[in-house]
Amino acid sequence: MRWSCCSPVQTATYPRVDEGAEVTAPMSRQGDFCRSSLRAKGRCVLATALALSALVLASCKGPPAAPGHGSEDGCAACGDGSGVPEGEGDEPPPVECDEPKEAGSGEDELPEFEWPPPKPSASVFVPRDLVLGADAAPTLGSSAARLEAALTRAGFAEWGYYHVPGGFALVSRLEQIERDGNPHRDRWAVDVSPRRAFSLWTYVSALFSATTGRFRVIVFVVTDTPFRPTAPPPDGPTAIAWLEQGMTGLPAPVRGRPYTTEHTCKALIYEFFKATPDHDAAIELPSHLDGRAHLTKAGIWGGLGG
Amino acid sequence: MRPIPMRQARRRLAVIWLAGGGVLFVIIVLQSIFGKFGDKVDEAFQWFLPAIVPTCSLILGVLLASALALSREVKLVDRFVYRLTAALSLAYLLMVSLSILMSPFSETPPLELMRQSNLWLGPLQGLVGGALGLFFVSKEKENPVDGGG
Repeated sequence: MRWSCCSPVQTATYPRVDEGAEVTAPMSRQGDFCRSSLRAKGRCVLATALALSALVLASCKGPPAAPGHGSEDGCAACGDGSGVPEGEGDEPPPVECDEPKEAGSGEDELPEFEWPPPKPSASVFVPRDLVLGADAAPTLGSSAARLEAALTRAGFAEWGYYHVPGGFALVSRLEQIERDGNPHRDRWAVDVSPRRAFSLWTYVSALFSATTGRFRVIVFVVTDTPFRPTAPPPDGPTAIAWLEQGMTGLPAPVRGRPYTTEHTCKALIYEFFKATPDHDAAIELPSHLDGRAHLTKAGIWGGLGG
Repeated sequence: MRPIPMRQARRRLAVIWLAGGGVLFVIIVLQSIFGKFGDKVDEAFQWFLPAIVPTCSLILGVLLASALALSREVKLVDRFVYRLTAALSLAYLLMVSLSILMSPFSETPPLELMRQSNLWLGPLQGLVGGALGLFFVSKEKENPVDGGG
Protein backbone atom coordinates (compact mmCIF):
# COMPACT_ATOMS: atom_id res chain seq x y z
CA MET A 1 0.00 0.00 0.00
CA ARG A 2 1.22 3.46 -0.75
CA TRP A 3 0.16 6.79 0.68
CA SER A 4 -0.23 9.77 -1.59
CA CYS A 5 1.20 13.01 -0.23
CA CYS A 6 -1.46 15.26 1.24
CA SER A 7 -0.46 18.66 -0.20
CA PRO A 8 -2.72 21.49 -1.34
CA VAL A 9 -1.65 21.12 -4.94
CA GLN A 10 -2.34 17.46 -5.16
CA THR A 11 -5.44 15.49 -4.58
CA ALA A 12 -4.82 12.61 -2.29
CA THR A 13 -6.44 9.31 -1.65
CA TYR A 14 -5.90 7.46 1.53
CA PRO A 15 -6.19 3.72 1.26
CA ARG A 16 -7.07 1.99 4.43
CA VAL A 17 -4.06 0.86 6.45
CA ASP A 18 -4.27 -2.40 8.23
CA GLU A 19 -2.86 -2.42 11.70
CA GLY A 20 0.76 -3.27 11.71
CA ALA A 21 1.07 -2.97 7.97
CA GLU A 22 4.10 -1.18 6.71
CA VAL A 23 3.38 1.58 4.25
CA THR A 24 5.55 3.96 2.35
CA ALA A 25 4.78 7.28 0.67
CA PRO A 26 6.53 8.97 -2.26
CA MET A 27 8.41 12.23 -1.94
CA SER A 28 6.23 15.36 -2.61
CA ARG A 29 7.31 18.39 -4.61
CA GLN A 30 6.96 20.52 -1.49
CA GLY A 31 9.38 18.63 0.62
CA ASP A 32 10.04 15.33 2.17
CA PHE A 33 7.40 15.49 4.86
CA CYS A 34 5.09 12.70 3.70
CA ARG A 35 5.54 9.44 5.46
CA SER A 36 3.69 6.25 5.38
CA SER A 37 2.16 6.50 8.91
CA LEU A 38 -0.70 8.22 10.75
CA ARG A 39 1.80 10.66 12.32
CA ALA A 40 2.95 11.67 8.87
CA LYS A 41 -0.64 12.20 7.85
CA GLY A 42 -1.17 14.49 10.84
CA ARG A 43 1.94 16.51 10.06
CA CYS A 44 0.77 16.82 6.51
CA VAL A 45 -2.59 18.18 7.61
CA LEU A 46 -0.94 20.57 10.05
CA ALA A 47 1.41 21.89 7.42
CA THR A 48 -1.46 22.47 5.05
CA ALA A 49 -3.40 24.36 7.69
CA LEU A 50 -0.40 26.57 8.46
CA ALA A 51 0.11 27.33 4.81
CA LEU A 52 -3.51 28.30 4.37
CA SER A 53 -3.40 30.52 7.45
CA ALA A 54 -0.31 32.30 6.17
CA LEU A 55 -2.06 32.85 2.86
CA VAL A 56 -5.12 34.35 4.59
CA LEU A 57 -3.04 36.63 6.84
CA ALA A 58 -1.00 37.87 3.92
CA SER A 59 -4.13 38.86 2.01
CA CYS A 60 -5.90 40.34 5.03
CA LYS A 61 -5.91 44.17 5.09
CA GLY A 62 -6.34 46.01 8.37
CA PRO A 63 -8.90 48.77 8.89
CA PRO A 64 -7.94 52.23 7.68
CA ALA A 65 -6.17 54.30 10.26
CA ALA A 66 -8.41 56.90 11.80
CA PRO A 67 -7.03 60.37 11.13
CA GLY A 68 -6.56 62.74 13.98
CA HIS A 69 -9.08 65.21 12.63
CA GLY A 70 -12.68 65.99 13.35
CA SER A 71 -15.76 65.88 11.19
CA GLU A 72 -14.09 67.70 8.31
CA ASP A 73 -12.47 64.46 7.23
CA GLY A 74 -15.72 62.64 6.66
CA CYS A 75 -18.55 62.71 4.20
CA ALA A 76 -21.62 63.25 6.30
CA ALA A 77 -23.91 61.88 3.59
CA CYS A 78 -22.15 58.54 3.17
CA GLY A 79 -21.32 55.56 5.29
CA ASP A 80 -17.82 54.28 5.73
CA GLY A 81 -18.24 50.65 6.67
CA SER A 82 -15.47 50.96 9.19
CA GLY A 83 -17.63 49.27 11.75
CA VAL A 84 -17.35 52.14 14.20
CA PRO A 85 -20.86 53.08 15.32
CA GLU A 86 -21.82 56.63 14.56
CA GLY A 87 -21.98 58.93 17.49
CA GLU A 88 -19.40 57.11 19.57
CA GLY A 89 -16.25 58.90 20.53
CA ASP A 90 -15.38 62.49 19.89
CA GLU A 91 -14.55 62.19 16.20
CA PRO A 92 -16.70 60.81 13.39
CA PRO A 93 -15.17 57.85 11.53
CA PRO A 94 -13.53 58.42 8.17
CA VAL A 95 -15.76 57.64 5.21
CA GLU A 96 -15.46 57.06 1.56
CA CYS A 97 -17.74 59.56 -0.16
CA ASP A 98 -19.58 58.49 -3.26
CA GLU A 99 -18.71 61.87 -4.74
CA PRO A 100 -14.97 62.19 -4.24
CA LYS A 101 -13.84 65.72 -3.66
CA GLU A 102 -10.90 67.26 -5.41
CA ALA A 103 -7.76 66.21 -3.63
CA GLY A 104 -5.86 69.06 -2.00
CA SER A 105 -8.69 71.53 -2.70
CA GLY A 106 -9.64 71.81 0.95
CA GLU A 107 -13.10 70.51 0.12
CA ASP A 108 -12.14 67.15 1.53
CA GLU A 109 -11.87 68.80 4.93
CA LEU A 110 -15.42 70.16 4.91
CA PRO A 111 -18.33 67.95 5.92
CA GLU A 112 -20.97 67.51 3.26
CA PHE A 113 -24.30 69.32 3.56
CA GLU A 114 -27.34 67.42 2.36
CA TRP A 115 -27.72 68.11 -1.37
CA PRO A 116 -30.16 69.19 -2.58
CA PRO A 117 -30.87 70.90 0.73
CA PRO A 118 -33.96 70.06 2.80
CA LYS A 119 -37.12 71.99 2.04
CA PRO A 120 -37.09 75.20 4.12
CA SER A 121 -39.89 77.06 5.87
CA ALA A 122 -38.89 80.19 3.98
CA SER A 123 -36.04 81.35 1.79
CA VAL A 124 -34.67 84.48 0.21
CA PHE A 125 -31.84 85.37 -2.16
CA VAL A 126 -29.36 87.69 -0.48
CA PRO A 127 -28.45 90.42 -2.99
CA ARG A 128 -24.94 90.30 -4.37
CA ASP A 129 -24.05 93.75 -3.10
CA LEU A 130 -24.96 92.77 0.44
CA VAL A 131 -22.93 89.58 0.30
CA LEU A 132 -19.83 91.12 -1.31
CA GLY A 133 -20.00 94.76 -0.36
CA ALA A 134 -17.53 96.90 -2.32
CA ASP A 135 -15.03 94.10 -2.80
CA ALA A 136 -13.49 94.37 -6.28
CA ALA A 137 -12.07 90.86 -6.31
CA PRO A 138 -14.49 88.88 -4.21
CA THR A 139 -13.71 85.38 -3.07
CA LEU A 140 -15.64 82.74 -1.21
CA GLY A 141 -13.63 83.69 1.83
CA SER A 142 -14.60 87.38 1.64
CA SER A 143 -18.27 86.48 1.26
CA ALA A 144 -18.00 84.12 4.22
CA ALA A 145 -16.34 86.87 6.24
CA ARG A 146 -19.19 89.31 5.53
CA LEU A 147 -21.77 86.72 6.47
CA GLU A 148 -19.89 85.96 9.69
CA ALA A 149 -19.70 89.68 10.50
CA ALA A 150 -23.44 90.04 9.95
CA LEU A 151 -24.12 87.06 12.20
CA THR A 152 -21.89 88.51 14.88
CA ARG A 153 -23.67 91.88 14.75
CA ALA A 154 -26.97 90.02 15.05
CA GLY A 155 -25.79 88.31 18.24
CA PHE A 156 -24.79 84.93 16.86
CA ALA A 157 -21.56 83.54 18.28
CA GLU A 158 -21.58 80.10 16.72
CA TRP A 159 -21.90 78.80 13.18
CA GLY A 160 -20.81 75.86 11.10
CA TYR A 161 -19.50 75.41 7.56
CA TYR A 162 -20.36 72.64 5.15
CA HIS A 163 -19.40 71.80 1.61
CA VAL A 164 -21.93 72.17 -1.21
CA PRO A 165 -21.24 71.87 -4.94
CA GLY A 166 -19.42 74.96 -6.08
CA GLY A 167 -19.33 76.70 -2.72
CA PHE A 168 -20.25 76.32 0.90
CA ALA A 169 -23.14 76.34 3.35
CA LEU A 170 -23.04 78.44 6.51
CA VAL A 171 -25.35 77.22 9.29
CA SER A 172 -26.36 79.46 12.18
CA ARG A 173 -27.13 78.33 15.68
CA LEU A 174 -30.69 77.34 16.58
CA GLU A 175 -32.46 80.27 18.22
CA GLN A 176 -35.80 80.60 19.95
CA ILE A 177 -38.07 83.28 18.49
CA GLU A 178 -41.42 84.90 19.05
CA ARG A 179 -44.29 84.49 16.63
CA ASP A 180 -43.41 87.79 14.94
CA GLY A 181 -39.88 86.54 14.26
CA ASN A 182 -38.12 88.62 16.91
CA PRO A 183 -35.68 86.77 19.14
CA HIS A 184 -37.18 85.33 22.32
CA ARG A 185 -35.88 86.54 25.67
CA ASP A 186 -34.37 83.06 26.12
CA ARG A 187 -32.98 83.20 22.63
CA TRP A 188 -30.46 80.41 22.89
CA ALA A 189 -32.51 77.97 24.98
CA VAL A 190 -33.39 74.87 22.99
CA ASP A 191 -36.29 74.02 25.30
CA VAL A 192 -39.46 75.93 26.00
CA SER A 193 -38.97 78.02 29.12
CA PRO A 194 -41.69 78.32 31.78
CA ARG A 195 -43.24 81.73 32.25
CA ARG A 196 -41.29 83.86 34.66
CA ALA A 197 -43.60 86.72 35.58
CA PHE A 198 -45.86 85.73 38.47
CA SER A 199 -49.32 87.15 38.92
CA LEU A 200 -52.71 85.59 39.38
CA TRP A 201 -53.60 86.12 35.73
CA THR A 202 -50.23 84.74 34.59
CA TYR A 203 -50.70 81.68 36.76
CA VAL A 204 -54.22 81.01 35.52
CA SER A 205 -53.07 81.52 31.96
CA ALA A 206 -50.17 79.12 32.45
CA LEU A 207 -52.43 76.59 34.18
CA PHE A 208 -54.94 76.34 31.37
CA SER A 209 -52.92 77.12 28.25
CA ALA A 210 -49.81 75.56 26.81
CA THR A 211 -46.44 77.26 26.68
CA THR A 212 -45.46 77.09 23.04
CA GLY A 213 -42.03 77.49 21.51
CA ARG A 214 -40.74 78.62 18.13
CA PHE A 215 -37.23 78.01 16.90
CA ARG A 216 -35.26 78.99 13.83
CA VAL A 217 -32.10 77.91 12.00
CA ILE A 218 -30.72 79.89 9.06
CA VAL A 219 -28.54 78.26 6.40
CA PHE A 220 -26.73 80.45 3.89
CA VAL A 221 -25.98 78.49 0.73
CA VAL A 222 -23.31 80.09 -1.46
CA THR A 223 -22.97 78.18 -4.71
CA ASP A 224 -22.64 78.53 -8.46
CA THR A 225 -24.89 75.53 -8.98
CA PRO A 226 -28.63 76.12 -9.35
CA PHE A 227 -30.59 73.98 -6.94
CA ARG A 228 -34.08 73.26 -5.71
CA PRO A 229 -34.55 72.25 -2.07
CA THR A 230 -36.48 69.04 -2.33
CA ALA A 231 -35.12 66.85 0.43
CA PRO A 232 -37.47 66.05 3.34
CA PRO A 233 -37.42 68.81 5.96
CA PRO A 234 -35.34 68.18 9.05
CA ASP A 235 -36.53 67.70 12.61
CA GLY A 236 -35.36 69.62 15.65
CA PRO A 237 -32.51 67.34 16.72
CA THR A 238 -31.16 67.28 13.17
CA ALA A 239 -31.14 71.06 13.01
CA ILE A 240 -29.28 71.22 16.31
CA ALA A 241 -26.76 68.69 15.05
CA TRP A 242 -26.00 70.82 11.99
CA LEU A 243 -24.12 73.28 14.16
CA GLU A 244 -22.27 70.59 16.07
CA GLN A 245 -21.08 68.77 12.96
CA GLY A 246 -20.10 71.80 10.90
CA MET A 247 -16.61 73.18 10.59
CA THR A 248 -15.80 76.43 12.37
CA GLY A 249 -14.24 78.02 9.30
CA LEU A 250 -13.53 77.57 5.64
CA PRO A 251 -10.26 75.86 4.70
CA ALA A 252 -7.73 78.15 3.03
CA PRO A 253 -8.00 76.59 -0.44
CA VAL A 254 -11.76 77.13 -0.38
CA ARG A 255 -11.48 80.68 0.94
CA GLY A 256 -9.27 81.69 -1.97
CA ARG A 257 -11.67 80.63 -4.68
CA PRO A 258 -13.20 83.47 -6.64
CA TYR A 259 -16.81 84.48 -6.10
CA THR A 260 -17.86 84.46 -9.71
CA THR A 261 -20.83 86.00 -11.45
CA GLU A 262 -22.43 82.57 -11.39
CA HIS A 263 -22.38 82.43 -7.61
CA THR A 264 -25.47 83.26 -5.59
CA CYS A 265 -26.24 83.35 -1.88
CA LYS A 266 -29.58 81.99 -0.76
CA ALA A 267 -30.74 81.97 2.85
CA LEU A 268 -32.79 78.92 3.81
CA ILE A 269 -34.81 79.44 6.99
CA TYR A 270 -35.98 76.41 8.94
CA GLU A 271 -38.65 77.28 11.52
CA PHE A 272 -39.84 74.80 14.13
CA PHE A 273 -42.91 74.97 16.35
CA LYS A 274 -43.41 73.20 19.66
CA ALA A 275 -47.09 73.04 20.59
CA THR A 276 -46.48 72.12 24.23
CA PRO A 277 -43.39 71.26 26.26
CA ASP A 278 -44.44 67.62 25.91
CA HIS A 279 -44.33 67.75 22.11
CA ASP A 280 -41.35 67.50 19.81
CA ALA A 281 -40.53 70.52 17.70
CA ALA A 282 -42.08 70.14 14.24
CA ILE A 283 -41.06 71.99 11.08
CA GLU A 284 -43.36 74.80 10.01
CA LEU A 285 -44.12 74.45 6.31
CA PRO A 286 -44.49 77.13 5.22
CA SER A 287 -43.57 79.79 7.72
CA HIS A 288 -46.02 82.65 8.25
CA LEU A 289 -43.09 85.03 7.68
CA ASP A 290 -41.13 85.32 4.47
CA GLY A 291 -37.39 84.85 4.26
CA ARG A 292 -36.50 88.51 4.26
CA ALA A 293 -38.69 89.10 7.32
CA HIS A 294 -36.84 86.34 9.14
CA LEU A 295 -33.43 87.80 8.27
CA THR A 296 -34.59 91.28 9.22
CA LYS A 297 -36.02 90.20 12.56
CA ALA A 298 -32.91 88.20 13.29
CA GLY A 299 -30.81 91.31 12.67
CA ILE A 300 -28.82 89.71 9.88
CA TRP A 301 -30.25 91.73 6.99
CA GLY A 302 -29.32 94.95 8.72
CA GLY A 303 -25.93 93.54 9.61
CA LEU A 304 -25.22 92.98 5.92
CA GLY A 305 -26.08 96.59 5.20
CA GLY A 306 -29.57 96.03 3.92
CA MET B 1 -63.34 59.01 71.87
CA ARG B 2 -66.94 58.52 70.88
CA PRO B 3 -67.66 56.34 67.91
CA ILE B 4 -69.26 57.84 64.86
CA PRO B 5 -72.16 56.31 62.97
CA MET B 6 -71.02 54.51 59.88
CA ARG B 7 -73.57 56.25 57.71
CA GLN B 8 -72.29 59.68 58.77
CA ALA B 9 -68.69 58.66 58.18
CA ARG B 10 -69.53 57.38 54.72
CA ARG B 11 -71.26 60.59 53.78
CA ARG B 12 -68.40 62.76 54.90
CA LEU B 13 -65.89 60.67 53.05
CA ALA B 14 -68.10 60.74 49.97
CA VAL B 15 -68.20 64.54 50.10
CA ILE B 16 -64.40 64.68 50.33
CA TRP B 17 -63.88 62.40 47.37
CA LEU B 18 -66.65 63.56 45.09
CA ALA B 19 -66.00 67.25 45.66
CA GLY B 20 -62.26 66.98 45.40
CA GLY B 21 -62.35 64.65 42.43
CA GLY B 22 -65.01 66.73 40.73
CA VAL B 23 -63.01 69.94 40.97
CA LEU B 24 -59.92 68.25 39.58
CA PHE B 25 -61.97 66.73 36.78
CA VAL B 26 -63.28 70.17 35.78
CA ILE B 27 -59.72 71.57 35.75
CA ILE B 28 -58.50 68.77 33.51
CA VAL B 29 -61.43 69.28 31.13
CA LEU B 30 -60.77 73.02 30.91
CA GLN B 31 -57.09 72.40 30.28
CA SER B 32 -58.00 70.03 27.47
CA ILE B 33 -60.37 72.57 25.94
CA PHE B 34 -57.77 75.36 26.00
CA GLY B 35 -55.09 73.17 24.43
CA LYS B 36 -52.88 72.68 27.44
CA PHE B 37 -52.01 69.17 26.29
CA GLY B 38 -52.14 69.72 22.54
CA ASP B 39 -53.12 66.52 20.79
CA LYS B 40 -52.10 64.41 23.79
CA VAL B 41 -55.32 64.86 25.74
CA ASP B 42 -55.73 61.11 26.00
CA GLU B 43 -52.49 60.83 27.96
CA ALA B 44 -53.74 63.34 30.50
CA PHE B 45 -56.98 61.43 31.06
CA GLN B 46 -55.15 58.12 31.12
CA TRP B 47 -53.32 59.45 34.13
CA PHE B 48 -56.21 61.20 35.87
CA LEU B 49 -59.08 58.74 35.55
CA PRO B 50 -57.45 55.74 37.25
CA ALA B 51 -56.39 58.01 40.10
CA ILE B 52 -59.89 59.21 40.99
CA VAL B 53 -62.69 57.33 39.27
CA PRO B 54 -62.34 53.85 40.84
CA THR B 55 -62.58 55.21 44.39
CA CYS B 56 -65.41 57.59 43.57
CA SER B 57 -67.27 54.79 41.81
CA LEU B 58 -66.93 52.54 44.85
CA ILE B 59 -68.11 55.25 47.20
CA LEU B 60 -71.07 56.19 45.04
CA GLY B 61 -72.03 52.56 44.52
CA VAL B 62 -72.06 51.76 48.21
CA LEU B 63 -74.01 54.90 49.05
CA LEU B 64 -76.65 54.09 46.46
CA ALA B 65 -76.88 50.50 47.63
CA SER B 66 -77.26 51.51 51.25
CA ALA B 67 -79.89 54.05 50.27
CA LEU B 68 -82.04 51.25 48.92
CA ALA B 69 -81.52 49.07 51.96
CA LEU B 70 -82.46 51.31 54.80
CA SER B 71 -82.13 49.71 58.19
CA ARG B 72 -82.87 50.76 61.70
CA GLU B 73 -79.61 49.18 62.76
CA VAL B 74 -76.96 51.79 63.58
CA LYS B 75 -73.49 50.77 62.81
CA LEU B 76 -70.74 52.56 64.66
CA VAL B 77 -67.11 53.05 63.77
CA ASP B 78 -64.17 54.33 65.76
CA ARG B 79 -63.91 58.08 65.31
CA PHE B 80 -60.13 57.92 65.20
CA VAL B 81 -60.26 55.48 62.31
CA TYR B 82 -62.70 57.76 60.51
CA ARG B 83 -60.45 60.77 61.01
CA LEU B 84 -57.44 58.82 59.87
CA THR B 85 -59.25 57.75 56.73
CA ALA B 86 -60.41 61.28 56.05
CA ALA B 87 -56.87 62.63 56.49
CA LEU B 88 -55.45 60.04 54.14
CA SER B 89 -58.12 60.87 51.57
CA LEU B 90 -57.38 64.58 51.78
CA ALA B 91 -53.65 63.94 51.53
CA TYR B 92 -54.10 61.80 48.45
CA LEU B 93 -56.33 64.33 46.74
CA LEU B 94 -53.83 67.05 47.61
CA MET B 95 -51.03 65.08 45.97
CA VAL B 96 -53.10 64.61 42.84
CA SER B 97 -53.98 68.29 42.71
CA LEU B 98 -50.35 69.32 43.20
CA SER B 99 -49.40 67.46 40.04
CA ILE B 100 -51.92 69.60 38.18
CA LEU B 101 -51.75 72.95 39.96
CA MET B 102 -47.97 73.14 40.29
CA SER B 103 -47.21 72.47 36.61
CA PRO B 104 -46.89 76.22 35.75
CA PHE B 105 -44.00 76.45 38.20
CA SER B 106 -42.22 73.34 37.05
CA GLU B 107 -39.57 73.01 34.37
CA THR B 108 -40.91 69.52 33.74
CA PRO B 109 -43.54 69.33 30.99
CA PRO B 110 -47.07 68.78 32.37
CA LEU B 111 -47.59 65.26 31.03
CA GLU B 112 -44.14 64.21 32.14
CA LEU B 113 -44.89 65.60 35.60
CA MET B 114 -48.07 63.53 35.72
CA ARG B 115 -46.13 60.41 34.85
CA GLN B 116 -43.59 61.16 37.55
CA SER B 117 -46.32 61.67 40.14
CA ASN B 118 -47.22 57.99 39.86
CA LEU B 119 -44.14 57.33 41.94
CA TRP B 120 -45.66 58.89 45.03
CA LEU B 121 -49.34 58.48 44.27
CA GLY B 122 -49.12 54.72 43.95
CA PRO B 123 -48.11 53.95 47.54
CA LEU B 124 -50.50 56.56 48.92
CA GLN B 125 -53.34 55.16 46.89
CA GLY B 126 -52.74 51.79 48.48
CA LEU B 127 -53.02 53.22 51.98
CA VAL B 128 -56.14 55.15 51.16
CA GLY B 129 -57.75 52.16 49.51
CA GLY B 130 -57.10 50.02 52.52
CA ALA B 131 -58.61 52.56 54.87
CA LEU B 132 -61.67 53.18 52.71
CA GLY B 133 -62.31 49.49 52.53
CA LEU B 134 -63.49 49.54 56.15
CA PHE B 135 -66.20 52.03 55.33
CA PHE B 136 -67.29 50.93 51.89
CA VAL B 137 -66.58 47.24 51.74
CA SER B 138 -66.74 45.82 55.26
CA LYS B 139 -70.04 44.35 56.41
CA GLU B 140 -69.14 44.29 60.11
CA LYS B 141 -72.13 44.52 62.37
CA GLU B 142 -72.08 46.32 65.69
CA ASN B 143 -74.72 46.88 68.26
CA PRO B 144 -75.49 50.42 69.36
CA VAL B 145 -73.25 51.12 72.30
CA ASP B 146 -72.52 54.07 74.49
CA GLY B 147 -69.58 56.23 73.74
CA GLY B 148 -66.72 54.16 75.16
CA GLY B 149 -63.05 55.12 74.46
